[in-house]
Amino acid sequence: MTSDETTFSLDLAGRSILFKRAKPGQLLMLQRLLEGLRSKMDTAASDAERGNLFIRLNKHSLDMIESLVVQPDDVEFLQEQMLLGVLDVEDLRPVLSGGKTPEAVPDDAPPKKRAPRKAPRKAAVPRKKP
Amino acid sequence: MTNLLRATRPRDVSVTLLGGLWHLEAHTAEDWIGAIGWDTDNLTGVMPGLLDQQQLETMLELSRQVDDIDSRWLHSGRAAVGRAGGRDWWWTVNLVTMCLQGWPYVNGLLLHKGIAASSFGFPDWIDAAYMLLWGRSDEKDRQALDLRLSLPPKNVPISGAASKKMLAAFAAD
Repeated sequence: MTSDETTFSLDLAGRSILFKRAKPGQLLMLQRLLEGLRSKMDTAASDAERGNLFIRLNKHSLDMIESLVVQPDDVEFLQEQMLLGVLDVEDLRPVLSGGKTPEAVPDDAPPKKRAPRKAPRKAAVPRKKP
Repeated sequence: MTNLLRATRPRDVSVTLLGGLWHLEAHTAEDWIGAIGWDTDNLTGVMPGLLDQQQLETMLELSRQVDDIDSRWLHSGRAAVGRAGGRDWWWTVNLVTMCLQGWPYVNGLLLHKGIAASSFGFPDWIDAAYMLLWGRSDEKDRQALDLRLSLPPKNVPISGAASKKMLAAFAAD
């Protein structure tokens, strides 16, 4: 992943995609909107309602792709992946945090060793006179 | 009903932006303090942060069409804070910032007096928080407190009337 002040790149569906950084207010709105729609989907009373919310969720994800992805080819690619179901809204979460992803820890990484404890300092003892 | 306090310190705050009226979803002092504290410089937690879900969708679409949306949000956020607190917006932001810096202390003392941010209205909570800080200071600290609260952030042009008011307060000190 590379990044600068105005753009950052993310690997999505096996392709490195360059994104523009959204305005903080826009990110806040997107986060609230997507979370709101997702939680409504969890408590939807009927399949029709759930389907309607799913359509709105996907629409906002597609709009976000269109407005933040720099290369038109990448827009098409991502929209296709979304429609095919290869990518979903969850995969776009790093876009909402401006490209920041939680630090990955490889499975085979050795456990961190604890730093050895320092021996307590001995109190100064006056030398015995010979 | 005519009510001076309700007119100057309304319970529900709306702002006009891009030709529309936007209702902010904040009912308690906690809602306002949290929204202001989210981003005290740009107040994005207030505007667009306090818009309800339905208005969010519309605002999100509009924001993609308006280049200077950031500064429009900032101005409407300031207006909203001013309206909600019933004082100059910067005074309110300064007080909230000051309280958030020592939140466990300020909130704890207010809770002891039965003033919970989660149930009080914003203007009442502001009055209580101000009196808490003011009441626990000596004369010199009170002047410093008032001066600190009345200072607008750097690079913020303020109206002539407001600057006259500030100068008068400073001269009185």
